[in-house]
Amino acid sequence: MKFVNLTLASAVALTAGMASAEVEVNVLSINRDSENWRTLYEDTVAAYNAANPGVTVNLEFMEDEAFKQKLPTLLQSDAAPDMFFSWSGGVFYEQADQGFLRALPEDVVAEWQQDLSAGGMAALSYNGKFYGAPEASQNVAIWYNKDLAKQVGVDPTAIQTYDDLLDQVKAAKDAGVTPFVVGGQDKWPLHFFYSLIAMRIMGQEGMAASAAGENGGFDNADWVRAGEEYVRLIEMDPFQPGFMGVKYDAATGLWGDGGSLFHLMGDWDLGASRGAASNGGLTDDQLGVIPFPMIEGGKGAITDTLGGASGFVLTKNAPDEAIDFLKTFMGVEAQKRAATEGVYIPTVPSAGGLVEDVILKQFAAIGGASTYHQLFLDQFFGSTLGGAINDVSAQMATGDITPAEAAAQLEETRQFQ
Amino acid sequence: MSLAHTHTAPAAASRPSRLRKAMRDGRLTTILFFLPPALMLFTLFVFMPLLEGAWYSGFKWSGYGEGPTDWVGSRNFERLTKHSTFMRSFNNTLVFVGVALLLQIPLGMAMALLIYRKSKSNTFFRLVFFVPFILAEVATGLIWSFIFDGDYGVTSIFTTWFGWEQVYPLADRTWAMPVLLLVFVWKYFGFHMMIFIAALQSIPDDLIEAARIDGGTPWQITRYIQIPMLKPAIVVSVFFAVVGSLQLFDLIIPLTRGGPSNTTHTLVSYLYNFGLVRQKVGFGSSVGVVLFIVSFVFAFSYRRFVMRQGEK
Repeated sequence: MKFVNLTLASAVALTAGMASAEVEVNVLSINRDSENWRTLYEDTVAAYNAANPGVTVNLEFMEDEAFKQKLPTLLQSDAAPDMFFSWSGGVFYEQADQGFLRALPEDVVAEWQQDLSAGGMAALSYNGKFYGAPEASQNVAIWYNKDLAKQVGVDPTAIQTYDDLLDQVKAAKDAGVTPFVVGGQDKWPLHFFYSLIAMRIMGQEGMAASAAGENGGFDNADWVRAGEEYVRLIEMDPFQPGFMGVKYDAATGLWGDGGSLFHLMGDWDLGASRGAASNGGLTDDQLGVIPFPMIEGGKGAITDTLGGASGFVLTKNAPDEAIDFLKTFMGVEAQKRAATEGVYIPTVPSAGGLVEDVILKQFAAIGGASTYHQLFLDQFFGSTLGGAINDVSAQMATGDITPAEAAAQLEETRQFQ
Repeated sequence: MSLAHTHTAPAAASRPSRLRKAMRDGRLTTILFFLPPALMLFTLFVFMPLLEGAWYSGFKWSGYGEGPTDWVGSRNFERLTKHSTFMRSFNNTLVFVGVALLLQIPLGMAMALLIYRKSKSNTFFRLVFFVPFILAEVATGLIWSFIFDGDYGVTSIFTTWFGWEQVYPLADRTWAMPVLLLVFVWKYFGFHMMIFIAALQSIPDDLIEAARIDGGTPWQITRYIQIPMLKPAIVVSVFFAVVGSLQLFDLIIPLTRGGPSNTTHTLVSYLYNFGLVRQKVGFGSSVGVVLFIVSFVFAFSYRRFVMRQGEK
């Protein structure tokens, strides 16, 4: 009898144990090459797992391009993660549209909009539903090398207009200094030029009209002018020799080695260029940052920003525990740590003031003063039209197509979508 | 009457008797056991995807969702023919085929003729020439992209040494394609060389010996004995060269990614870039259909008209 009781007791204990079995939350992120970013993730996960005995969070990293290609099939399979990294924009809208994502409950949304960032939350929303939590705020601006500016005899902080920029490009060329380095083979670094010029020319309304197919979509005078202004720069031969054979990593390494006067890139480049440079890259004292200048007669503003609005979103079968973890993962504490350690510029307003890195601070100021934040065009317009924007940016840089042909190609792609 | 009967009876009875014979000697059992798995695998992994690809090519579909719903008919194909990058990719693929036939195979044959005899030095050279073929395509691409890197690569060392201006062949629209062709020839000529070496070694020595006794020069022996006897090997080599060129992809991506400005895409890298990366599964499938038709027409007619002739 005693034996039977013991057996029963063990069986009950076993069943109880199974009932409170571990809930797994699988997180899929893009690669975090920056060591302190990766550590931040791993520490947050470890701390959460320790504090929540019933939950196990598994974190997986995947290279950006592989991630983009694997995701469509992964989301449709049983192996779909519970949450994954998202650049927001067109691809995210499509995922939400197809019902692959789990919308956050309204009370959670209200709470997060208070605690996290309302603007960032909006970027990860679609048709009035909110799907995730925002992470880093990213902005693109013109970096300059103070030593080379001195050598060339120019003051980049005096640049107000695009013509001013072109004058300094010319001065750099005359002094035998490469004006810009760019990873042309990746194409997207070139699309920053075309995008920012277009934004300055047509402003927020013009960009929205193009997206909606109004005013000729992309085949209109504003886009043609954007191409013409871009080609004005290209005709000055502003990039390092062989720029079309160089990827972003190598280009930013060149920049870190003092290879050019300017570099049009986002705030993430600080860690990336130092990692890729041969001797630790440029110090904070050697670096300066200015916003992309205004173009004469443009409808945009110098305070309009181009950048990212990324974060993590939940998939349709994500358990409630995933929502709880997401709040911690992208939460105030994690973002404060990111700010103080110079990992990234947080989207959480209360963490923004904690950014100590002098360069990131300048980017944070540019982001803080933003009058209209435009998501990277190659993400905003989705993979097809976004890819076409990258294509024409590269084709104009190599002189393969004219600005008018570029505008027509974009409009054709938009219509075909 | 009886004559007619005796003439037709074997023809009518041949099938059942063949069946009985097959049952007796166990061939039927073998077929019943071994054919279904192979047929199932072929259907599952070749035939079904083929049909599926052809079906998707009529849709506008991003790859998300249960399946395609937006039927666009032949629009994907119309768009293909209007896309200059596709036409260029098609043209590039033909250039690869041409170079494989006119450079790669003759080079492989020349090397085979030089080193087919068994000796230690020939074994060494065989290994050296065959190594590029063994190397993974992506690794090959990365090695050569380093060689042609104008800033840090071997090219840069040369230009600096001679005091020339730095060159960036992979970033140059004129030179990117020739560089790809060079790497392509280097990578695969060893494969054809091995086919020819095997064929040359099977040519009876006494035939060559007899020619030599008759006063044949080495060139005459090669021209009138060895090359004609290599014909079956050439037929096989050409087949592999053409099919391999049509499928070329993994050298392109690490070397140029189809650039600069989409000038070095092949059909497959075009499919990958404009179909998969840009999530236009329907459009990508239409490229796949074109590639299939080209490969099928070639393979079918080659087997029908060239290989069968060779068999005779």
